[in-house]
Amino acid sequence: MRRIIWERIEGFLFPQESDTWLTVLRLGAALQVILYCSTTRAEWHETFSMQSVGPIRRDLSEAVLSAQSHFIPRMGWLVDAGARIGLGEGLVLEIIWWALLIAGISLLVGLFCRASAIVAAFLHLCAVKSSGALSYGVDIFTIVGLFYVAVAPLPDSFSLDRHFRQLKPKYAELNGFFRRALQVHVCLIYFFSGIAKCAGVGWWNGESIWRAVIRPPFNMISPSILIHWKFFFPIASISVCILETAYPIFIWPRRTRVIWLCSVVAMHIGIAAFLGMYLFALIMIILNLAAFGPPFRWRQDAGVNVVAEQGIA
Amino acid sequence: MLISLACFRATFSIFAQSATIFPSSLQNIWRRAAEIVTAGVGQHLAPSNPLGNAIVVYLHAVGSEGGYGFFAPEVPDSLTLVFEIHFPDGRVEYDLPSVRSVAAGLRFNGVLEQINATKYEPLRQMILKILTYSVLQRYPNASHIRAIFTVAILPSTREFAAGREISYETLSAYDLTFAEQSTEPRD
Repeated sequence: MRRIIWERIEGFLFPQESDTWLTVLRLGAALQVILYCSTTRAEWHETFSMQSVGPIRRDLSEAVLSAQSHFIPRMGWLVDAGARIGLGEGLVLEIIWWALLIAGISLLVGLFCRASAIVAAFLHLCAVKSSGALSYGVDIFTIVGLFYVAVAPLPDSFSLDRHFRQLKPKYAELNGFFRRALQVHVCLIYFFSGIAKCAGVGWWNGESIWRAVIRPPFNMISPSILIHWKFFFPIASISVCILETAYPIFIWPRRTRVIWLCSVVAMHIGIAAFLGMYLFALIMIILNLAAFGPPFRWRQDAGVNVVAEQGIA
Repeated sequence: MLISLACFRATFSIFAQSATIFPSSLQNIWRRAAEIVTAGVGQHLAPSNPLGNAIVVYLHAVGSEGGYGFFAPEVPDSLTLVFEIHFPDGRVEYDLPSVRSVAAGLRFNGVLEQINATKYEPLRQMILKILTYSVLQRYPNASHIRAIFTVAILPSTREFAAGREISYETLSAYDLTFAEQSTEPRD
């Protein structure tokens, strides 16, 4: 009996899994890093320089971090390290930005996957933690994505490392384990996000959705237009509560997985369209597809490469 | 396991601090539950404790330290910070915190929410002072600057249909006179 239980636990934790989920996650996380670099470029020095005249300086954020632990990665470490070899703060910050961008591009094409993933995850974490209050949901979920890319068995089948450098992952049999960990993590994200929303009155009568879409700076569409759809708000907000809270229940069975996955992706597309949170929507869709999306394979068919669906795992 | 505990902690904290569908009499229970779970993730350990540090670093590295209660239990009001810049000749100008992109604007919104959530007045003043200092760099001749923190009161669907628009209410105003480097809150 104990053996059967152990085999079931083992079967759940270490399933046989292809690495296509990792390809999706690697591409998505790398894209997010590149977009993070491009969207923060204009204010990079203002955000992280101690000589900055910008609205928020990193010393405040890093002081808050130190109250939690002195070992949480931060930009201050890198700036101090640069100072020890005679590099000025501005130059170090410039090097960090370029290093993050290059790591993102390298991760996107799949070259030096492991090193790129670790560098991107570490530098991105430093930047997000040191920018403190300036970070929001998209940064948190990019950290989640980069963490799993950095620890999973790289390189994946679609990387340049595999095709041009002929490298193979050392522990490919752990692909299933890391995907399982990501799946459980995504379930926790939705469940706790959903349960917290369910506790609010506004999520049951539609007022929360209304407030979210008319609230500056997320007010992409005029309230005068949106008010004509007021009957839809309660339906939408209750749907959000159900989709998120019941995610861990309905995303696992094959019968309901496609419906739930498509619904959640549609919800995130809606967030992008109505709240203008494109990057947030993108990373959430990537996490969903990596965790529960169908696997696919690259097939040579009459000399033409096609992506073939293998169905839901 | 640790991620689950961090999520439970964040959720219990939300329930303890906000108005929810649960009876307010339960708020002490939520608070106590949050404290118990906080101990479970090693937050009660001494700052020098290696285990406590390892847990905190791990939670930050996997993006789980703060839980995932976005827009919950209610969507918060929208906040704005306006600077009223006074010059020695009596002239007054208005300015907003400067950001260079839409993305930065979205990010700055989080700063305002954090200021609003800060109940400890000296810390709140210090953050506002840092923000105001950035404005002073653009107006070196200003005699003093007033930071006005406002909240956008969002109408309900029924109120909006009845003609009520988004209105703004001053939460607090801070006079910052840089010659003396002092701040005086004016609520």
